[in-house]
Amino acid sequence: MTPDEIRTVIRATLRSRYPHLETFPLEGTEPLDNSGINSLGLLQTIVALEEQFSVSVDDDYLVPERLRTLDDLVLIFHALVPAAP
Amino acid sequence: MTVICLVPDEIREALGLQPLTEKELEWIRLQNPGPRVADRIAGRIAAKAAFPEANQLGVEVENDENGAPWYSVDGARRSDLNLSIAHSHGWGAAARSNVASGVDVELLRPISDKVQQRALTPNELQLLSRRWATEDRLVGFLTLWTLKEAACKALGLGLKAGLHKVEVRMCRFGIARIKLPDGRIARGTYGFTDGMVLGAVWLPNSLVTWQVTRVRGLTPDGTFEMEPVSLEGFGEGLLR
Repeated sequence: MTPDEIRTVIRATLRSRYPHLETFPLEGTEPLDNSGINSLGLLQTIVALEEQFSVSVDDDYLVPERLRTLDDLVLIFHALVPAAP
Repeated sequence: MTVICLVPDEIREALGLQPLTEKELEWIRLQNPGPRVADRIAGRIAAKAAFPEANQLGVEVENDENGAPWYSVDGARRSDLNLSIAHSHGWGAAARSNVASGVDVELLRPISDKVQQRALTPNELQLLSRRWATEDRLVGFLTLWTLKEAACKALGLGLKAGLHKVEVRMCRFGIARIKLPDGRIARGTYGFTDGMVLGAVWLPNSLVTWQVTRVRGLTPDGTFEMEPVSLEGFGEGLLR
């Protein structure tokens, strides 16, 4: 998957889990903290994305500095999700 | 003495922005343009209400470069007071203490088993199974989570401390012991009210006392009207 495809999936997942984000821009560099997702919500989102992409994120990545923005999530999952053949 | 102050969602809504100063409102506008504004306001109100009553009018809550909150009184930092703020779903909580402490609050809501397994260490998962019956597992999980997060805040690191590097070792009768990344054992307490789970943690210290209060509104002179709270499951207010 390309980074853009991954970004689209992550946006959709966030919006399905948090309906109030329907009208929130969810820009790549916007801190997720501003979107109403707290630390537990972020962990729930990561687990949902792991299931969606059938991958597992290492515990070392589960720290706020590595999960600040949508772009951070794209980077993590792009490194884990196999590219299309 | 640690004062833990809660601001319920409906009180936050009723108070609006009235308790906040222009500087605090500016901070909220600058830092949080998104949907967490209500949470931030609740946390700010809780922090101000946790300050001794006589001085509330001159108090402002500010944040350092890492986001850690602190009290400013008439423009001067009160470095003798530790402040921790938490919020969840419109509720605010704050702990004001003379020792390093942290507080967290979470709405009781469904959390999947998979998330629970990711959040907790193997020892904590065992503790969860031993300590709480299946039907209370969610309360148990959120108790352990709030204690972990409160411990991370007490360390001044937030979850940077590492989700699995802070481990709840004991949790019974409202009292908890939490192992910190450096091996020291912190003490904590936890409890429930109105569908919210609250956890508070103090770094190792000889003696800790605390009281829990809730904001009811504002008095005509602009100070907070408070009431004591007895939280279900909460410790007795003294840790040695």
